[in-house]
Amino acid sequence: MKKTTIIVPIHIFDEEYANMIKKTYENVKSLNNDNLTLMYVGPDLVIKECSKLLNDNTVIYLTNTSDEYNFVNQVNFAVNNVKTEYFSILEVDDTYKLNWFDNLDIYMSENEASLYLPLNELLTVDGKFIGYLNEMAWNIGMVEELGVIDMETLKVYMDFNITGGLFKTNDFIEVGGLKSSFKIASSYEFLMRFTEFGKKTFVLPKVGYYHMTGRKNSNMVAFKEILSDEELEWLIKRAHKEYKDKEDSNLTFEK
Amino acid sequence: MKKDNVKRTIEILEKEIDKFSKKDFKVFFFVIDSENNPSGFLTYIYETALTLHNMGYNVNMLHQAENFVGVGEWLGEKYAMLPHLNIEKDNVSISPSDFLFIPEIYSSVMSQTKNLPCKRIAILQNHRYMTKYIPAGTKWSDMGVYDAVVTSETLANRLKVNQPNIKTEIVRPSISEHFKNKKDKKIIINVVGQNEEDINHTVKQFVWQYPTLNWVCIRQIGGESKENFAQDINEGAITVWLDTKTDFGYTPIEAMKAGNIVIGKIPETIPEWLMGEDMLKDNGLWFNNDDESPKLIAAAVRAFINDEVPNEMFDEMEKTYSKYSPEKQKEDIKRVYVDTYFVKREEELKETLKIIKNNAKKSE
Repeated sequence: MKKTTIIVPIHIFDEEYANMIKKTYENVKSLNNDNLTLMYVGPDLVIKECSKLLNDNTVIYLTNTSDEYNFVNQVNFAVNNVKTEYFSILEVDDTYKLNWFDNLDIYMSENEASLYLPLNELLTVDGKFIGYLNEMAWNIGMVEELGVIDMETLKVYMDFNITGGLFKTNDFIEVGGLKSSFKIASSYEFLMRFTEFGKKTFVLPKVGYYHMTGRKNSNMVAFKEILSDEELEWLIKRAHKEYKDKEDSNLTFEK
Repeated sequence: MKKDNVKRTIEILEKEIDKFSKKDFKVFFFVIDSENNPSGFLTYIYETALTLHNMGYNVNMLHQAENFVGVGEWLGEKYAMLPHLNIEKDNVSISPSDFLFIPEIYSSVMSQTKNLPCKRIAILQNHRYMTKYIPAGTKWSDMGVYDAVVTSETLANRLKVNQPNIKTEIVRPSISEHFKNKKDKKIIINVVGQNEEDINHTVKQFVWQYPTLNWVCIRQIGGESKENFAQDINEGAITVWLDTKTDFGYTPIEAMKAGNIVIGKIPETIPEWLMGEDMLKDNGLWFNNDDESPKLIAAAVRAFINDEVPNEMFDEMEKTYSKYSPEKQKEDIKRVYVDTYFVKREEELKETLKIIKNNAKKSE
């Protein structure tokens, strides 16, 4: 396994968040992999509390000095501070499957790519299984090459999740990182752009990540409450146009 | 005149016996033309033939086809390169030191070759083939065949019930080295079966009943070259096998060797590799009732993507396929063909020669 930084973006610190931070910490520790370095990124006060809570100096506590703490900007800020060849994003309410990085070792040696995604199990806040994410990369009717997300697939299907995946740091930076103006469609636009610039995304046929959906205070739920259907549709259309540009146009939706 | 005939017979016999020390006698295998259609049945025969050829024996494949296409495309050139002779058109001379191996289905060939001087032995791979064309009431021994090579003890026991005067020797099939356990398997379900209706029934039920898994790639394979078939099996994670008429079944063992989870409908005759002491082995997921298959397929998919296949199953799989290695088959071929059939035949001819010489002496 190559040296990898696991980025956990955090933006608030309360009792609920403290529990989630501890859970992510324990999850990464239980992976028992010396090639993994944990990095929490967030506002100054939040990071200070996080550091006190975990009290572990092998962990990187990165203060986001950009004053923008949405998920996308947190990730971009963190990646610019990553010193390892690879990184992965762990959302604060998600977990890795214990053998995910072992499976990465097996599949990476036979499949060259810039981004390796796991199959996700999508769970409710109560831990109930809803379905899978990223599985469509293995649907013979959706892709040209099994396991590989291609542009034709992305033009008709957008429900891929990039958190939990293993990114080649330089390739992520080279294509321009995530674009925050795309809000909940930022991963989708990113994948189109990543693919457009010749970077290969391979989905392992292995569950590697448990992704929670519907948590009350999550960014995603917050976005879904403020985004209208029209704006979401507009974002998707924008993605289909702007994936060729590395820079964010920062267009805003007007009804 | 009679003395001349005896002298000539002795000369012929001595010449035939001499062939054994030089491996000069011929070993014929009767085959049909596969016409490029892969067949486990023919694979077994050709593998035996090639093994003996590589041991230095004079092997020939006999056929009756007008325009023989052969096995080159699907089995490989090294098998196609074995000498092939048309029994009706080519000048085939057969002598007492020679052997003719006839597949069980060709009772007509057994009958046609009844008067040949060579040793004739049946090859039995499927008991249904044995009864397919043979006239009712006719036995192999009626056609001068008293020996059979069989592929398993199960078959030997079945033959004993139906034709008790046939002596059997077991030569187990082998699983090709093309089948390998690839570490980075894909979530592909390979379906292998003889009957389209069974395949449709199995696949469609699974897709309907498990919508959260209906993205999984399911493909029907078979009818291609061994190499391509092996490639498909090797890259997949799960093999569904639907062939209830077989006596052996190569596919599940090939799939086990390739590290696949095997799901199969239990054949009418349970193969020896599937039957444990008093229950089925845990080397796969087996079902009788078609309605059970969707659940088993779903379980296999989930087990694969979550790495939850029990180690005990992999252990049982290994125990199963390791019994059918090419090395073990070569040992069986040497034991049965070389050390039993060839040796016995030489002894028979020597005994015959001895008797003729003694009688000749007495009459002097």
